[in-house]
Amino acid sequence: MKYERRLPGAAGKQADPTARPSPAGATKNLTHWRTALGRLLASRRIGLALTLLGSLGLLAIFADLLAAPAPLVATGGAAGTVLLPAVVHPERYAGKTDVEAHALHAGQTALWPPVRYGPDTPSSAGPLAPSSRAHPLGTDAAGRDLLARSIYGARTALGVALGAVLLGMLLGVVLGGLAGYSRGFWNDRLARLVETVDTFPAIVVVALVRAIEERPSALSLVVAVACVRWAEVARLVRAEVLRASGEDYVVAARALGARPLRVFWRHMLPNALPPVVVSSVFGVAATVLLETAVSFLALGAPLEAASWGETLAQGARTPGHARLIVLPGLLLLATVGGSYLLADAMRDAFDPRTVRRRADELTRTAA
Amino acid sequence: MLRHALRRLLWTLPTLVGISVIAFLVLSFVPDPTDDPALRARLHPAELSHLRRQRALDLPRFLNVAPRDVRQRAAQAVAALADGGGEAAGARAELVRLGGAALPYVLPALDALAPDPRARVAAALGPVAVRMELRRAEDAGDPTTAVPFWTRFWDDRGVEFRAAAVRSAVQRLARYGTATRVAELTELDTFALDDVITALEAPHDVASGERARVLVDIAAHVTGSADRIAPDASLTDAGACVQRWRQWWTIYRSDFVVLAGPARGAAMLTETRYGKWALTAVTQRLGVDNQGRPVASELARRVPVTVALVFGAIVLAYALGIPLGVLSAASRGRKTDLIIATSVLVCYAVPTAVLAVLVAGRGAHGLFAGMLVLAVGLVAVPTRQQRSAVAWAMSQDWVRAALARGNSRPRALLVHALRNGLLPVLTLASLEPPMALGGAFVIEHVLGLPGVGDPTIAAVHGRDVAWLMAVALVAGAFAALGVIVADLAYVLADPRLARPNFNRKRSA
Repeated sequence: MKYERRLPGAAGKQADPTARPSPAGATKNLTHWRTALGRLLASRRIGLALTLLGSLGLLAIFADLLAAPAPLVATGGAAGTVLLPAVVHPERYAGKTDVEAHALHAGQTALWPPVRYGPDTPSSAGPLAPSSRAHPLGTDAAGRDLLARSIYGARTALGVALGAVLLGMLLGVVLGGLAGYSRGFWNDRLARLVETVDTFPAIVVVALVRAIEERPSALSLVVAVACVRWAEVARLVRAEVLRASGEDYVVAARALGARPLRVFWRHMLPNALPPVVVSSVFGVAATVLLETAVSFLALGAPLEAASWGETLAQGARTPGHARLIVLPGLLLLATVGGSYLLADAMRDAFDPRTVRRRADELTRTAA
Repeated sequence: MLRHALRRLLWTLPTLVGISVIAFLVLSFVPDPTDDPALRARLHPAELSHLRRQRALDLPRFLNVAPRDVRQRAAQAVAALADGGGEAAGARAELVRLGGAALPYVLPALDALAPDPRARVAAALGPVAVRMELRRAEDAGDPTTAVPFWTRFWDDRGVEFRAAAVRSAVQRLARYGTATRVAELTELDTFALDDVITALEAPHDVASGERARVLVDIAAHVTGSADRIAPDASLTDAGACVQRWRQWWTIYRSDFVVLAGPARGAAMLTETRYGKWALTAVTQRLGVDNQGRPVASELARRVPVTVALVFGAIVLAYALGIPLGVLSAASRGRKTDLIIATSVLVCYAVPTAVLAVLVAGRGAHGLFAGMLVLAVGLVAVPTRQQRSAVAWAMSQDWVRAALARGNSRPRALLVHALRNGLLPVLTLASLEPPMALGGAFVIEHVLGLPGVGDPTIAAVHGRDVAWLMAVALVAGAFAALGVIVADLAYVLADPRLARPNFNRKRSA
């Protein structure tokens, strides 16, 4: 076990107070997950990926604090002190222009967010206004503040992608487990089903779902993408279940009287998870790109939520306003690139083949 | 291996049926224009039910437990007439519409009615007698003479209302086409409709055009429709008219025929919304879209563009990505590797829409430009996969053995490592087209290529079920074929995989 001690991160594990005590000795904490985590943290790519995704995630989570048509805190006036009125009472600001919304808080002592506009309401600057003090990045073709829309676009992109991927993962684990356990007729049928769904284009599913909607919502996009995404996860889980069924540790667990569900949960799923997680992070990148394509093409009625794809479509329609293309393009580059880097780094970290190779190289360089 | 491939090919059929069922289930929730309350308020209930009938909205989705045929409709109308309530006017019109096809069930049942209702029902059939051009037809409309008129009619002519007699009458008409033959069929009224429409063929020369014209004339006469073929109509117009009549027949067939025995069992499946769609799709080449264009010919024009775009881009991307991956693996840990990794990452993450807009802004159009733009986003996956596959293979014993035997490093790389590394990359290639389709739609839209994308977007807006169903089917067909091709490609790349299939065949 020469190389294990050289792995970064492994040294700190000894002092971990939450680690379960075990009589095995010094190597007790070197589980597969810990070594993988160590390798992951040591990778250079992960820093860049986490910075990109982390800042976009913060934008998405705290969008309400960064851009809103109302102050964060306002005191004085009839209502007394109100905290985040745009979140607590969104109906007060719905359909109001920025001037009207700002007039609501005239005479109050207010702490304003950096961008004083919401993503939905057209501002008084008019459509396609150049950048100014009020609108650092100008306004889009519908007169809405571009910066506010970009910030809320992160929420849509990441929300849809994470929702679709997590839902797909859940479905995939359940159905993949069933497919792996089923025998005979159903085994073959489920395998075919997984293959077919896996190769069915997501955009066609989105088109079908969008066609039946009265009012398009981001949720339908999540469901549509999850309908296709589960197949990839199911394929991986099924393969692992089939492989593990004959392994000694599974046979032993069965012999000890473990129920199939417990065997699946404790002994099979942990081995299937690394590829599933990697594929899901790749899935985030793919879903963000798909969401952009769907909004760009205006497949179905426009979403109420802000979307980078919609801004791109405006840029395509109005040549000469490069910022409408460059800004969402850069944000997408960061999101997709970040997810891709993260997935790539995770794949290398989880892959036992790379571990062996690294060990190989280390011993070779040492020799 | 061939048998395996054929078996898989056969399995695509149930797969496609399954896809069509699921897609139809989803699309059956499309809000129909007739659900619009504003329209409902404006239209007469009869018009509304006519519209809903045309869209098969009066039928269940997948299984019709009790399909209604002419017998039930006639019995219902007679009962309503005999009752003499507020629905009598509607029942009278229904009876006239059903016409000759209903006579075998209405006339023998007249005896069972009380004198008053009997006269009402018989008189209601008056317009049918006029339409049939019977002698002294005015008697049939008069309540006092109607009952004896129809009784006599059924005694004299009831024997003509037999399926075999009608079939030979239609055949005679198709062969000789004289006025007597036309009168023969006119007297049978809607009873002959089934055979008339079956005999109706799309015209291809003057003689068949004339035949179609006569048959359409009869059909239009007995149904009171104005859709006929003009004597000087072109073959295309005549063909379109025949097509319209067939379409009409798929909707209204059950009004004029009796469903009994096996036909009833079949009708439980065909007299449904899905059944109607499937019948239209099979007999009329996927039906027509919202603009009235035939879906199949529109697809035949547009699918090749999209397929060329997607597959061209994938071939380009893999032709570039595989060598890049090998190069990347060969120079692992050096600057080349880093440069390749960074550039393919950027290529992957640049949204296709941005690239397409930039390319279109520079005036580039056409299929090849589209392929290039689409390929940019696809290079990353094969490059990375090939890199890790070759890197893994290079650390394996057989490559080490090859090196030890004195093979050069490039030879070990290309001959021994590449082939083994190719397998996972081929798996990926089979998964690529569905991912690339979204990008292809964007590129078609921006570069103005006549692919499947734009009509699909229009279909989503216009809620065009025929087109969306067709697109789902085409996508499913390509998905199923892709799986088979990937299977075969595996075996080509790794002959060991072929063996289990053979073994299974032998033991079976």
